[in-house]
Amino acid sequence: MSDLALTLAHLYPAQMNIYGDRGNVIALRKRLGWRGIDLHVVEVGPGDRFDPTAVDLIFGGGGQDKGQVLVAEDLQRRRAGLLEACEAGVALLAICGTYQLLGRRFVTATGEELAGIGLFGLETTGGQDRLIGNVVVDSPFGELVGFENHGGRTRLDDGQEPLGRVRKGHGNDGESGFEGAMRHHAVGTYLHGPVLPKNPALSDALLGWALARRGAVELASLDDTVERAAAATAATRP
Amino acid sequence: MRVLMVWVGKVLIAVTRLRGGGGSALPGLVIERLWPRLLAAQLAQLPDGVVLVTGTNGKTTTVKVLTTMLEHADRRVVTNRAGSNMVRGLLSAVVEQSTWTGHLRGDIAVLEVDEPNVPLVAALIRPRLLVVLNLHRDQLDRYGELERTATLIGEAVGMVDALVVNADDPLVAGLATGRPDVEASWFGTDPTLRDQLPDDASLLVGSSGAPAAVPPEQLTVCLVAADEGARPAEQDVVLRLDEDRELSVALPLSGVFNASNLAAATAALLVLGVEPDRAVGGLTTLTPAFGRGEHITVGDRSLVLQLVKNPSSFTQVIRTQLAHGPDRVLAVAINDEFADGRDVSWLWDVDIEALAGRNDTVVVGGTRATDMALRFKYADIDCEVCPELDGLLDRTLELARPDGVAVVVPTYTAMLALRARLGRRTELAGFWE
Repeated sequence: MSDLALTLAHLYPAQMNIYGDRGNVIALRKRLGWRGIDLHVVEVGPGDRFDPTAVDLIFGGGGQDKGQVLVAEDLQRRRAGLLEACEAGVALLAICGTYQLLGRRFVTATGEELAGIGLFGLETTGGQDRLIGNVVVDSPFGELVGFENHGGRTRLDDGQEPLGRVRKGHGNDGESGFEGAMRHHAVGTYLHGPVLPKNPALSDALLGWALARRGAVELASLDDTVERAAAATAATRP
Repeated sequence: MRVLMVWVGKVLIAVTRLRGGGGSALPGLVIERLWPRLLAAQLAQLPDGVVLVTGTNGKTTTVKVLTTMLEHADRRVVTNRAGSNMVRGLLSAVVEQSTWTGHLRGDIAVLEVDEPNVPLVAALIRPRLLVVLNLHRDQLDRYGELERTATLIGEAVGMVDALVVNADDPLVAGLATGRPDVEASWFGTDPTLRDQLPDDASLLVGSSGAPAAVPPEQLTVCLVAADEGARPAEQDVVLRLDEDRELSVALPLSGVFNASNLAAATAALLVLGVEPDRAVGGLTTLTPAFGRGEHITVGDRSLVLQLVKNPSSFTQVIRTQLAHGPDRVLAVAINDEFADGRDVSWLWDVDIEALAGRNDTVVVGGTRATDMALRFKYADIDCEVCPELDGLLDRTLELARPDGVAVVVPTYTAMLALRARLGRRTELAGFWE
């Protein structure tokens, strides 16, 4: 192992963990480990002390509605720090419920409003039906494959960059053709799967951003045959 | 009307059997559309009423254990087998067990019900007893969120005469606490065993989770010991009943989760007023339920079929059956048909890492074999990919040692397909038995 180690802050692991999204942390840790670099994972729960600018990566997963309310309140207290971290180029990945709360707000199907932190220029409204199924997205990281399952319809502001365009599936709102959102080194998406294991290019982009901020060398390439095979299968499923 | 509907159902069952679709729920689906009240009309003939069993994992086995014990206590039991646990499945089962004159022979019904259908079924038939085993994250694209499932089952609580609930599972325990209007009995586990039976919140964390909902003295049945010893597929279970009575049972099923299912079934017996001492004698002839720890012999090779449906069942199979003991041949078959759950993200909530560092021989198959291979890769475990199930079976049998047992871990539709294929290669009971 090299002396270099990165730190990842895993936000709200107890509240936002319902969809296998912790697999994204596993993917990042293994891919760094295979390059001889350690990943320290720090869990951040509601009320925990945490400086978002002092870590290399930030991750938040999807969760149940009840957990999302608790998380929304806590995120408001961290708003300034997270926006500063994004400006500073900290790599961030937010899935589903966390992704929604990084927007401006989330209005539920019954009209209640959850305030987000406005890291992404977007708003989400709760819909009655859920948008469910395998998804293929064209993105700057190549073709991404995942699985979506969300009642929220997310609309990007004009000028808010998406993660990519949907080739198969519903995406943010089932209409715009956009999936996810990106700002600087922060990525938000509805893709479960989980998203990183089958999409090594996205994993390595996040890791590359984190390492570059530390002035570290480039990532050695890995054999992604198994990853590509899984992505190819997933892309054909309904 | 009632007898006519029974006729319609029985004709449909005979027709689907002739066409090779034995066990299909189509007959029940037709009756469900025409006259769903048939379920209540038939079950009302049973003098001792209806027991419903629900929960994320263990329904089929618990129903089988309870049915076996009741039959040994000379009760005639109407039950649904092969896991057909939605309303249409219950209708099919009830029609099949009714005579052509519309008479349902039996004393009591023990029925497995899929969680979201519990309030619907309870409203139709007013059960005598509802047993809730556990609530764990399950196929999210089918069942939606866990808390919503708990709320749904909660709606049924006011429609039943009595409850048997799991004191160690906070979501289940919450159905009974604060409901003085419902008679609740509790089953639970001694703290020393609870680590092997995590509730959903502690599934990913590895601790024993929340404290039990009631103190040990208030448990109707407490699982105090489950010792597998050297014999495969068997364990010595000790249950503490209230009044400080202990019951020792030789249970021909492996895995602590099955000892817990026995505790639940025993609590149900007590609520039904059946003496467990005599009833447990029937368990010596118990064989595992369809796909749940079934031993199947093909030539001179032995396979164990262990169905997995969600992170907790797969994690439990790993922790209680695979990670302990000798290196094995392990075949994992992951399908993503509707009944399996189309989203395979759940594989990453499974404690696959517990298998790392062993010398197991692993093969993967099913429609999402490549995703399972990916999961194993990120746990540093090598595996061979054989997507087609016939190929997977061939390879597993080829790799299996004559003295050892190969463990086959499929999702639901993969299990049905594998069982069908194994049935053609060996003598297996038809799955509607």
